Amino acid sequence: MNRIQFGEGACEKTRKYLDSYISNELLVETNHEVLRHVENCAACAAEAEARMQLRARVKTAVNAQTVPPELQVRIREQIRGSRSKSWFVSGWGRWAVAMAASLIVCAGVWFNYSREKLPALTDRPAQNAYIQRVSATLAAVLKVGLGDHIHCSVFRKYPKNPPPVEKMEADLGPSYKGLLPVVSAAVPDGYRIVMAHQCSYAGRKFVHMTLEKNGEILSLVIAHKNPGESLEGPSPAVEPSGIPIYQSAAQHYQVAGFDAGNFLAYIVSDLRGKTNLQIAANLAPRVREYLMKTPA
Amino acid sequence: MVEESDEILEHTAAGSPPLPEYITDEEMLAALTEVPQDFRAVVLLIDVEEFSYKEAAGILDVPIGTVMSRLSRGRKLLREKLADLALSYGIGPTHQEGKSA
Repeated sequence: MNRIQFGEGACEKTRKYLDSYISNELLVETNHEVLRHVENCAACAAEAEARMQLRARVKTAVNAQTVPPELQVRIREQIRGSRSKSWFVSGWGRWAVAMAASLIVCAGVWFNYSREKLPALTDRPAQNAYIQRVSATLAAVLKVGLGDHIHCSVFRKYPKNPPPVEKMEADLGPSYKGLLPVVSAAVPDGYRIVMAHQCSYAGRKFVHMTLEKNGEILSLVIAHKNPGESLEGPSPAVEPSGIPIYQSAAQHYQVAGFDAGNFLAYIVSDLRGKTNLQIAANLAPRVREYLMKTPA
Repeated sequence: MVEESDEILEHTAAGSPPLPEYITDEEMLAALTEVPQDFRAVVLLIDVEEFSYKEAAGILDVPIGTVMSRLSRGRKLLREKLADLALSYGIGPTHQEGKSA
């Protein structure tokens, strides 16, 4: 036991122990000394109060994050399970458990702060700057799809109540309205088309559909190829029905793309990479077949 | 309970910058992400998850003294980040001087 006797320089000594005092980690005797000093020293009392406030605010802020509860429970159980096994963690190194611990409590932090705040709807320059920042690491040909997705589905949002099919058909025009049943048939259960139209962004025209499922959105973005433009390269992520699909991530967005004759087609979302790619793989054969028959 | 060590705790004696009143949760988290991972992990394990020093030491596989020093250092860094943020809002000595001028 290591009892600390405070005397001369009591303020300095108290402050050395304040963090452990706040965490209730001091020996009883030392705790008593700190408490006695704090009760009689306004400056140290204010210091203790400031540190306790900070601790409380950190806890509140982290716990306010929307980490999926089941994930929190699972990892916390793993952490706590490791304690009951005398720190032996089967299959995981202790460091892995530690990282998991900090990961879970930071998950919300990282999740949110990997996502920049969106600029205001009316602030076009800020929106363009945002798109440029987000897509900075992408190949130029993938930026095309991401830019229109953010511009149209993220900034301008999608309607809560989708317009009637007739309206979407009219907005798509005669050449592309046939994509509605093609896409509907190829996306996973639960997704519904909430927006379908032709639009333009950065001087380029697009055919754009937004699909939604439980608040998750994904876009099918189609653009006419510019001369010499192609997605095809040596290493596709998948190749369903012989169609090379390329995918890359930019911040929390996933962008998958494939060539379709005179068109480039993209599936863009903030779903997990594997999910986005799977949806792209499901859509690619039918969408490509449709576009190959569509005049440029 | 742990035995205290002056060497470990030396750097915690300095006074805290005041916690700005108008810090939002998002700003708090943004400041937290700027604290280096080693320190942040200890702050999170102890202040948020409420593990004891001994438990945190076991999880991180470091001595308790390291947990103590990282916790103190992590909290201090966080306070400094928040104080910087407050200054950027014009809360602090510079702002007050400006107002009185």
